[in-house]
Amino acid sequence: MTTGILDRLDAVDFDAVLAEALGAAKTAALAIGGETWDLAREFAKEAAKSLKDRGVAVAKSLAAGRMTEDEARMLAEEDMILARMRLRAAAGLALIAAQKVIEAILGVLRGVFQRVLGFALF
Amino acid sequence: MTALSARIARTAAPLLALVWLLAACGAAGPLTAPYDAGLVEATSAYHQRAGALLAQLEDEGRAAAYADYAPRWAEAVAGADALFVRATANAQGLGDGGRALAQTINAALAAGTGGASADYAGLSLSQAQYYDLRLLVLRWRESHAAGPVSADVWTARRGQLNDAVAAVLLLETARAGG
Repeated sequence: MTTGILDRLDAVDFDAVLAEALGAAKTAALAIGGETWDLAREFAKEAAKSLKDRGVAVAKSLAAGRMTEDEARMLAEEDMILARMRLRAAAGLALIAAQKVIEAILGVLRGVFQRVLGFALF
Repeated sequence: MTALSARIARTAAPLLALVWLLAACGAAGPLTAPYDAGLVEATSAYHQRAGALLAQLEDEGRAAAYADYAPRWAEAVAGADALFVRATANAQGLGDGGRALAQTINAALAAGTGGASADYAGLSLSQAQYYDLRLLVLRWRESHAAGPVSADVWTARRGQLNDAVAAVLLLETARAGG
């Protein structure tokens, strides 16, 4: 049993495995990272435009007497909550991308170690 | 065997270290909560209902008496509560690593935007998004209960609702391909 494992271990080209694992990680990072970046960039652009539009609208309302200063302050505080939500969404996208990269590497290594050991290591 | 030992020492040790690290990440569980199509649908439905409430308030402006709207505000808060509870159930599938990262991110965001870090302790990113959506609805209700506000304020809040739901759904739907 031990000899068999050592033989199979000896047959493994670790350099190739490492290259394959890193290649899978890179592919996952590029594929998911590209989508994530496009999504995040569009989202940031829209969010910034929306915030600016609202700021302009509030300024006009104030100038026209259709809104009080207290109301404008209240809206600004609520916009801070929105800023927090937008940034959290962007951070979440990065985490999702990281999860994909980890799964890609584990997928390659899981197969190699199962072939060598004859059972699932993880 | 000597050659094999040398080879293992040279190439396998770093690889095993990498495997151990990744297995540890795997054992720590997913970094993000699982995708929940039902939660996405419920969020979209909530967006429509809350949007309709804000649109009506916008039409009435300062003439909208809080007493007339109290039941609808109660419904809006209950709806936001229900979404938060569902996100909480989903967060059970989150690993320790994901929880630790969410804790760090939530604390940093709260500190940077005038929020209270303690309010987000133990929350996943998804939970925190629904917590903040609920916070917005509570603030809107409180301001209305304190006195009538102008139509322009409700117009601005309709925009806030749209942006808040967009931020929530961006994170929720990004997991759909996972």
